[in-house]
Amino acid sequence: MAKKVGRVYRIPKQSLSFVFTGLDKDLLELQEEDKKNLKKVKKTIRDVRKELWQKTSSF
Amino acid sequence: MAKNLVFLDADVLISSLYSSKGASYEIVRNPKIKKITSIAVQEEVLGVIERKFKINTKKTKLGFKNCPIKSLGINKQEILKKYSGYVVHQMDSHVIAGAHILRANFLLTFNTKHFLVDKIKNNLGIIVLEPGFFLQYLRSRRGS
Repeated sequence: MAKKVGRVYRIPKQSLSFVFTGLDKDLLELQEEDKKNLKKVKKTIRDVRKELWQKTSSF
Repeated sequence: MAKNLVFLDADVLISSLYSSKGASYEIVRNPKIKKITSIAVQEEVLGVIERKFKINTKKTKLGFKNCPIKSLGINKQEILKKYSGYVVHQMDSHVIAGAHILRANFLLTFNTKHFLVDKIKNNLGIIVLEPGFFLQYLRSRRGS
């Protein structure tokens, strides 16, 4: 994973993704795509859930 | 109990309908992942789509094609009594109720901060994860 360049070792950015986030780089990108889209509807989801919770007596 | 049965929360289903480039879409389209959700969650998804997106009903129905939808057969009082202790907001109780009653092993949601994940795992045996982390889990199992 690490390559020696001169006297120091360099670790590619992609390889550090798992260390910092727990996700491989490709999966991190998929996850971020979802989160980016959900930002726009977060409040709507809460509002719809609240309304459904108030009007529904049986699930 | 089905091996790796996954209960999908509304935000995961909505994201899978909105974009084909996300982790949610990968999960929904993968036939090897056994998925399930509840009628209440389906109603939430349809409600959000109706208000926010211009996604036609055909695409919405396709999104549910690989995800059976079940009724929980439980009333609100019972849900609150049995499951409100597992969530931060009462109105999320039906999600954890759905995962438990339908015997799911995993609950996938982007709302993990609102679920008491350790208590859910210890008492109900359900692992609460964001979709990307579930894909990472599957990848790690394939590698072992």
